[in-house]
Amino acid sequence: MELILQTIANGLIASAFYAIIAVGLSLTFGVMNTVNYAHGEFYMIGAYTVWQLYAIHHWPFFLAVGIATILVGLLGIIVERIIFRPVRGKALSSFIISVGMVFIIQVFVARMWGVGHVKPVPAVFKGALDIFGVTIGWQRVIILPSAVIVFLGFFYFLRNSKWGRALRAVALDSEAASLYGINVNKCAAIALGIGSAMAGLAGALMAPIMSVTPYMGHSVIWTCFVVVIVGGAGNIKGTIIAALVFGYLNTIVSTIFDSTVASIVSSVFMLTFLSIRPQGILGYAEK
Amino acid sequence: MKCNYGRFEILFLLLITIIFTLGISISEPIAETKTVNIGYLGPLSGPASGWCLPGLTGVNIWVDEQNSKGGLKVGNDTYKIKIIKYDTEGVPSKAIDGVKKLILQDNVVLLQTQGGADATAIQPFVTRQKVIVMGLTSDTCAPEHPYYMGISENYPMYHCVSIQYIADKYPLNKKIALTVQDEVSGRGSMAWAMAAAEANNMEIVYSKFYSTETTDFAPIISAILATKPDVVSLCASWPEYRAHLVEQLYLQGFKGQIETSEYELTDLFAKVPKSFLDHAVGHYPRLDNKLLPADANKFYSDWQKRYGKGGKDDIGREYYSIDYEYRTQLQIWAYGAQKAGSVEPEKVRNALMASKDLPHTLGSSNWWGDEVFGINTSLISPQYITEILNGEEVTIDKYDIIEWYNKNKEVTLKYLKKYDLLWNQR
Repeated sequence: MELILQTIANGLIASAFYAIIAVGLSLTFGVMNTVNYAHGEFYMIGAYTVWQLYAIHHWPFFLAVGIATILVGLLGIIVERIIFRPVRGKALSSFIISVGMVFIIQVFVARMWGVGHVKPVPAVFKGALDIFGVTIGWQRVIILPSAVIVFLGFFYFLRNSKWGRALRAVALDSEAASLYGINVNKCAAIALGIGSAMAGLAGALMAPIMSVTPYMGHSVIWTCFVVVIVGGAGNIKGTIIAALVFGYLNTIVSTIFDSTVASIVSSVFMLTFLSIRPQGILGYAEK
Repeated sequence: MKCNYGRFEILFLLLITIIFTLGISISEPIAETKTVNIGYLGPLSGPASGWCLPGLTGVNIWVDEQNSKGGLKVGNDTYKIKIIKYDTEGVPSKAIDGVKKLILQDNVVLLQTQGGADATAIQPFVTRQKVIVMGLTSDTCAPEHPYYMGISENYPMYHCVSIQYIADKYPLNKKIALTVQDEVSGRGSMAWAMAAAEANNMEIVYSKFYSTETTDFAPIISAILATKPDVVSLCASWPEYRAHLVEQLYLQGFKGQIETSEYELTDLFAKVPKSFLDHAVGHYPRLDNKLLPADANKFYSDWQKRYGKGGKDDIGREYYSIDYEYRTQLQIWAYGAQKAGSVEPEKVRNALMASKDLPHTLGSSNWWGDEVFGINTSLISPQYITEILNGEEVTIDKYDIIEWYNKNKEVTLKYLKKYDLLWNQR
């Protein structure tokens, strides 16, 4: 029984982690029809920012997390303006360009701070939450309320703000949206800014419990792409549901079998699911 | 300018100079100083970098010592030593690119490696080029790899004696769980540890590999702890992964004993309290231990002076095992080169293989491995057992691996066969 409860808790944390990163990726795809493979590197920059500010310069952890989120969000806006705008709507071109960005960002970070040993980020919250025989490190626990706050705030923004409604309109039909006077360029910049900020936030929060290296983005981006595609590319709610599915699938299979089998099962599940429902969980089928 | 010396004095000085110069020439041939290149090929980044990057400290100390003396004397020549590094990131295809660069462009006469998948990948090329490869570990030793030598440590064999030690000294710890990443180094450590557990009638409650791509270690530890083990062996988990596993063991409330290859105390104590690792079992003695050869004590002292707290190149961490291991490779290579009177790889290899009681940092060592690896190219040094006590790694005991193997040959070969590790299964 304890193992079942522990697995439920582990799965929830893993799902929240995937969801924060994948929702940002999904937003970018939905609004801009742009595939940003460098999203994992934005996550890495978030972690490096916390390493620099919190671990090296001893700034307060949450201040470092806030700065990392804003910094990566601004980086996303700059990248949209300079790199993605000319290829907006061309999924393949944006994908190839973003793969190039992956290498550039990795090499830049490696040159700046070296590639050797992982960058140690001490845990802010020592110890673990112990409830009904389930123990989860406090540093992992904080990802859950953070995800809830981010998603509530994000959905509020989408539903109730002018720019949120504009983003939804552009995601549905960018040409029609522009005919109604919506500034599509601005929407794209906001989408990539928010999406990147989410990746930066995830990296920043997870820095104390992940291995901070220039290549850390690589380890999450594949799973996040799977989550976005299965969720129904560009569909935020679908992405959150898919993050829960894959978070639990990985955790349960890793617990019962091992993490190698978990990787295989996740990929087989994705292929099987997409062959039955190509549009993903909540995506619309093409007419 | 007016010269103050007469013709006689000038002639006398000239004569003295000629006699002095000739005297040196006759008594000793002029040693020509050359440079010999040595390749340092391994994961300088990535999750396995903890097994390669720290070794540069010991290498730097040894190389600077030799070069400051004018170079290493081999036969009639004196060689300045130059180390050329190549980062494989632990990716075998990058190791192949690296070995071609190091041999064909840099003309290295020796390749220093960690062993494992990187070292295995480069074997076809180095065998054709006849360049010696020295590794930390013995898992790459094989008849088809005649130029590979497992030099620095008794890996993966030493896991058998650490489990034996736990069985001897902690007989109440009967239930053991084992896990390690799924690759050649990990499998070797799992096989030897399992053999020792079975040989001592311990109950193996969990024995699974985890993916090298694992990012979340919580489910692995949850599954392990559900089996209520007394001992958790992390076998040869990669240093970066080991830190995550130990942290999860701590956070999920494990109260038993840990066994693993080595302990990067600075990294681990950033994640768990010192008391959590009390009685954890390891394999690497601190080299200031007086039971060890004087050379080992001297190296430890040199390391502290240069890289320790307040040292010239303070590295910001505690000394740990990998620091000496690549230096040992250089010492063994230098011993072979001096015996052969040449740095030519084939001659050095032959001289080394013909030698007994080689001067290893941990003590006199001999070649072994025929039954397991199909070739005697694994250099077995004395094997120490350590425990972490109050945050310090303390040398507790000493075992003879060959003696252990001879007593438990059957069960060991059974597990090596199970994981396809015997030389004739590859």
